[in-house]
Amino acid sequence: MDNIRNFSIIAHVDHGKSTLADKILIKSKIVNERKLVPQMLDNMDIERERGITIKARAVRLDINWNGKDYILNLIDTPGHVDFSYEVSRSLAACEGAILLVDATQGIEAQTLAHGLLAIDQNLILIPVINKVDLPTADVERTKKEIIDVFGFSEEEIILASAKEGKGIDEIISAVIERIPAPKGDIGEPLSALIFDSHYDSYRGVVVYVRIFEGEVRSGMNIKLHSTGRTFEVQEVGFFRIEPEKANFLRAGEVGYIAANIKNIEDARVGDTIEEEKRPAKKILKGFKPPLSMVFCGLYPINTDEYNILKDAIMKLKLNDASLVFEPETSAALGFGFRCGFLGMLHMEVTIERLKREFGIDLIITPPSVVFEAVKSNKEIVKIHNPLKMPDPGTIISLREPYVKVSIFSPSEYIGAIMELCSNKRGNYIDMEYLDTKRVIIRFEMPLSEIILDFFSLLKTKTKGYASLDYDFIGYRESDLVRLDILVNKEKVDALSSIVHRSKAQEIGSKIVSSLKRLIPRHMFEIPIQAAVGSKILARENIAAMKKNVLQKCYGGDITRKRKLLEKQKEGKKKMKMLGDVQIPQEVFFEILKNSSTS
Amino acid sequence: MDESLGIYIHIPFCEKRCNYCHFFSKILKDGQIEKFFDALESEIDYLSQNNKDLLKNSFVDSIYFGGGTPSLIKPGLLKNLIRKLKSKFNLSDPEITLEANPKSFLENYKDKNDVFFNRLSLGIVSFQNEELLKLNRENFGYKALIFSKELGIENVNVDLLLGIPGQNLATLKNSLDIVSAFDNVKSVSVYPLEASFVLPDEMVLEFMTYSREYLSKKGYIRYEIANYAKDGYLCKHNLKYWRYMNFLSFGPSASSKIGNHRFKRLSNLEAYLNKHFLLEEDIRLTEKEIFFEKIMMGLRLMEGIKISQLEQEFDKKIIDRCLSVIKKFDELVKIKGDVFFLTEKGILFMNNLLVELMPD
Repeated sequence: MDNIRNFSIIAHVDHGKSTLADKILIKSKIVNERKLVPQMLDNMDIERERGITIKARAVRLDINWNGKDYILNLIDTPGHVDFSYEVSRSLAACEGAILLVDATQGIEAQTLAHGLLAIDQNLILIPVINKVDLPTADVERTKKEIIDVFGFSEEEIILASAKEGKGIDEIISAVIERIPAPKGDIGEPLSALIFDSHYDSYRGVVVYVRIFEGEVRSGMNIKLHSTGRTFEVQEVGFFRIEPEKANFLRAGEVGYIAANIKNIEDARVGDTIEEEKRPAKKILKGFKPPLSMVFCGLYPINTDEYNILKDAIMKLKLNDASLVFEPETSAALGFGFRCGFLGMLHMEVTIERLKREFGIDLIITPPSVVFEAVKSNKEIVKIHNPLKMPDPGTIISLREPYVKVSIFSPSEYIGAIMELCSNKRGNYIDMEYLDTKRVIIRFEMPLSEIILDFFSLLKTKTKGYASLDYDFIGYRESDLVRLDILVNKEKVDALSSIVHRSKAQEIGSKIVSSLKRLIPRHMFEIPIQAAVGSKILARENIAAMKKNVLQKCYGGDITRKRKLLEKQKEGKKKMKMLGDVQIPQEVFFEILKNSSTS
Repeated sequence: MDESLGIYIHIPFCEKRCNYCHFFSKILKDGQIEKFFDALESEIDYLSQNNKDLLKNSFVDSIYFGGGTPSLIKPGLLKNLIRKLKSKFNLSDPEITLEANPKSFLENYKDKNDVFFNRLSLGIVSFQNEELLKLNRENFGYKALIFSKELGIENVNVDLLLGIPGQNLATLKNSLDIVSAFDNVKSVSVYPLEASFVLPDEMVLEFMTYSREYLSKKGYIRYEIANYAKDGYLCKHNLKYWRYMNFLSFGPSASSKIGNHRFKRLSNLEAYLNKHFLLEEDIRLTEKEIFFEKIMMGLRLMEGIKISQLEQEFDKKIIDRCLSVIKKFDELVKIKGDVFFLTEKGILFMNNLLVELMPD
């Protein structure tokens, strides 16, 4: 066990984590540069395109250092705010972490949040400043920030340029020298932490584990602590670039277990695996079932594709325990699914994959958070869909989820951030200067305000310099109303939303005017209204089209005429019919975004 | 000898190009005319060779010189061409139309001997200097009409455009007053201008309504979406398109339809002058497509479409699908006895209806 080092890399998106991981891989025996696909740890194309690592992956590296063989287990972590729970579980599997900071950017919100998380879990942090060779690098300031925020000494900080391979040896050396070897007793009953999983069509769910006590081998009957379900282990092993079978995994090691687990929900991240007959002495702390924070409806444009969509969602679900869904019907859109996500990025990536990997044309309804209604009998009902909001007469109060938001920004944007946050119903908590030029501002804010467009507004108002992290802090009572949208006098259920009463007028007007812009003219005039109950808050009319006819007949050139009609027909196919009104598919998703940026 | 056939000849030359015109045409260069007519004769030989059965079984009752600007060509050449056609086709007292630009008509036609045609279609567009200026055209319409009287031409069609910047009800009325003052103007075409700089739809609609009412008072009956004629002066040739009958065409970019075969000569002057008779379109239509095209063209006519006639030609399922759509859009199209036809509103929204009727 002395020669094992379990570590991960904490970094903000684009600060060079994957490049650094690749360079460390090259130093090991398993990869040479020619075989390396850039950013090998990111498995999915979408991740690679977006430059973010969504699902954690673990790689075992054999390194000979100063004449001694070491096993380095690099556990990659997702870099986005939606996946902070997954990050915390990945960190829990490690004894240390590299804290990677871009010299041109400084510490960002998630780096701080994850760094503090690691310190809380008693991990040893190795501060590394990356991209020091870029002309815009400000190494001195970044150093000072790291020292001020985390309390490192200057000598501990490693200067690196992962791209150029500079500093890599120093980093590996620090991982070996500074991070302690894992502790644990092979003789104790098995206690293993699940920090990730993926679905494999041959072996079922493959669970990524860190063994804390005891050992696991094939043939052993294991129990998943939170569900109590038991499975027989088929195979254990670890990941090099490909999975590699092993006879056993022992305390201190990182690897995988395949045990014919069919349902990914049985292998929950953060759960403890124990031996059925010999229960673990210590159940690992920090387990939380996944919490869906954002919901939206997914509908096929072509109603015939309902079953294809269902299969596709189920396939994604195999690999994604945090994706939840249930069938839903909309008068406007027909049959579809209500899906729950950890956050906006999780949602966007899932939707992108449904479109790209399964080729389904989707209508996406505006995303919504989960509200709570307190009924007169004190029962609390979760509202996942605005349409399911109970009759106001039957409830005492409504609640909405709040988050604590930490925003990192150059100090010159304090005013703009303050204004933005108050507009978004934020309550100021405090502000802290990291140095003379950078501040961290904290607010409490309804999550519903964040999921719309907060992030893009923040980027616009701070010229892209601010970064953001948030944590769910609980439900708060709130004066909420359901805002309905009527197109041609008919309520479009898929466009209903729950909003704060003080914002209903403003949001209603903006939705109505973006609908006016997005819905094409028809043969008849179309009134568009926003209403709370029977009270109309906003109204616009789409004037009737005056004519739609090819007056001139191009002699015998019938094809030209047909082509023009075919173009019109193609355009129509991309529309959804609501009564007699054709609505472009993107309306449903874009409407709320547009409503607050316009 | 039981089927009628229309012949179209495309003259792809203009003195200058108009900014709103979509037809295939090039600025005329020296020496091209001889070469073009030589190629045309070869194409006539070539097509008649390839369609012997068709030629044997049909009679030609319309010949149409369109363009481009057919009036750029000296009448002698066109007369020769008709002689050529006579040698290959059974001509049966055909309607012969010459499309003419007023200016070149005045330049190239001198006296009654030049009149080889029996229908003159003048592209006058407007009689107002300011409007013609916007379209980069000159004002010779009035002179051309007077000259047509002098030449004794008894069947003249006038093309007018609606929506030209600067146009208003007064200028439109003035143009219509002139047109209807000539008793040899037997038909009028009133097309909305298709261009980015056209007046707003609202105004164009007002002009359309005004023109229809004006012309109807003067005895010109609307028989097609944009065409008005005195009794007995419907354009035989254009009716062939709208009634989806057979037509054979010559010249670059010209489209033909024979039965279920539609083909279009390549829109390339050089290739044509070198007698490369290539096609840019060569389609064998399915029953559903023929049905749709027949409806698409036929609905343009106010006479409408006879259901009983469709029943003779098409599968019942195809007709039923069409009728069920028509019933759904009863605001746009009416069924009266055996016939269905567009309503006033249907004339304005024909495309919306056709999109619904299109085969998948």
